[in-house]
Amino acid sequence: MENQNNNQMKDNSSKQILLSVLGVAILVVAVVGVSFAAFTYTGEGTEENTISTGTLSMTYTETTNGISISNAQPTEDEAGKKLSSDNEKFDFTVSAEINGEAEIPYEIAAIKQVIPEPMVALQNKDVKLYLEKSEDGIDYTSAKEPTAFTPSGSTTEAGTPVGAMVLYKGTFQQSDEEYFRLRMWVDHEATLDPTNLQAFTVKVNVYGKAQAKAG
Amino acid sequence: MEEQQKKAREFVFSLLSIAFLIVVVLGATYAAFSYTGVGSADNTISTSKLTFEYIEDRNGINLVNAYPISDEVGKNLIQTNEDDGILSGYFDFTISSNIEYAFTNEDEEVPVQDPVHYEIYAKDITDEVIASESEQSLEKLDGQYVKVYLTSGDSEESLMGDEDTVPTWSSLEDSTEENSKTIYKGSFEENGSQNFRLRMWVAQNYTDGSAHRTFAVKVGVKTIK
Repeated sequence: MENQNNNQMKDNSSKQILLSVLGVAILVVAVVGVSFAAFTYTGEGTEENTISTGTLSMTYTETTNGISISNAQPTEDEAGKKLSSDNEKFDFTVSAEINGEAEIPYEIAAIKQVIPEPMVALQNKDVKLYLEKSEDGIDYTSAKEPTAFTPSGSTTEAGTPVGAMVLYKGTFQQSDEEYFRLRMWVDHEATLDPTNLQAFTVKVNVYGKAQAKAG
Repeated sequence: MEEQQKKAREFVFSLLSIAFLIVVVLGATYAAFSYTGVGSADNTISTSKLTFEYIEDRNGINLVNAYPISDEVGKNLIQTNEDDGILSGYFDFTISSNIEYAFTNEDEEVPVQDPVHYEIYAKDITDEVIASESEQSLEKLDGQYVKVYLTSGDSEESLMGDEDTVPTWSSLEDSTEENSKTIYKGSFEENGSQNFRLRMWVAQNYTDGSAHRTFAVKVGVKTIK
């Protein structure tokens, strides 16, 4: 009988101890959990993380009057390249301002104009165009050798339309200004019709489309 | 657990959205920039229109039954009636040039005109004339016995170069025109017209009287470079 009471007492003590341990454990967990739940942290950075766009602009400027030759005769290329009077050449500039990692591929194009009656249009093959380029507007070098007017069969990526002639392709990779000089003459092999007034007129356009710099 | 998964999904979705937005903004910034510079200046080349006229004065020259004469006499031949039995005389014609331009350069009142160069030539049509004649014995006069003399129609100033020497048909330079000789090359510096007078005669050194002989030409004008 006494042993049973002793055993029962021992069981009760064990249970109490177990309960106590569990209670403490729970308490510890609860305290720890509450500690973490109650512990918040905010680390505020000082470095600014910013995204912003670059700026791009492009400008085409005609610096002289257009070519105006009223008594055009068949001309050898070497002579045509040296035409020097004010009315025999056309100067213009193309410039770009780039802030950011972008580049601007561009094209210079000759746009053929309709010839008013009673004049008759010269044939494309009978008209030569010659383009020079300069970094300073003083010393010019060939950008496109004398070439008969050759219309484009499709719109180019830069935007030169069908029927126009691409004279030059370039790319601005940074802010810059480039100078150009156009000359135009009747090809030396052209057979002119002396009984008709014949003419050929072009305007110059510039087309550019920016893209992110490669690499 | 389910709540956490949901929050995790929302967090990832937010990150992706932001990343996508950045890409779109950056891409849109550069793709939207395109430029077209439209020119306003006309660049024009135009040719001139040349009107060239050759006007003949009534009949041409046709030497038949002509006698040899000296150059001094030949230079002064005047028109005589055919009834005299001697056909002599001269042949008058006019050349005019008119150039039109599409426009006038602003820097000049009148466009600078390049000279219009031309050539007066004579085509030998003797064979055709003989073929059309009913007289069977008509023969062609040798060109070395045919004198050719061109003067200004107004002043009768010689246009043959050497004032003292009148060339023969044979000595004249061959023209690029078929069966023709070049009589004169000139140019117009500006629009205008010029009169010419042509004389032909049998050279004084022709002595063969054994047959009837003839020589016939047609005059023409063409522009040259």
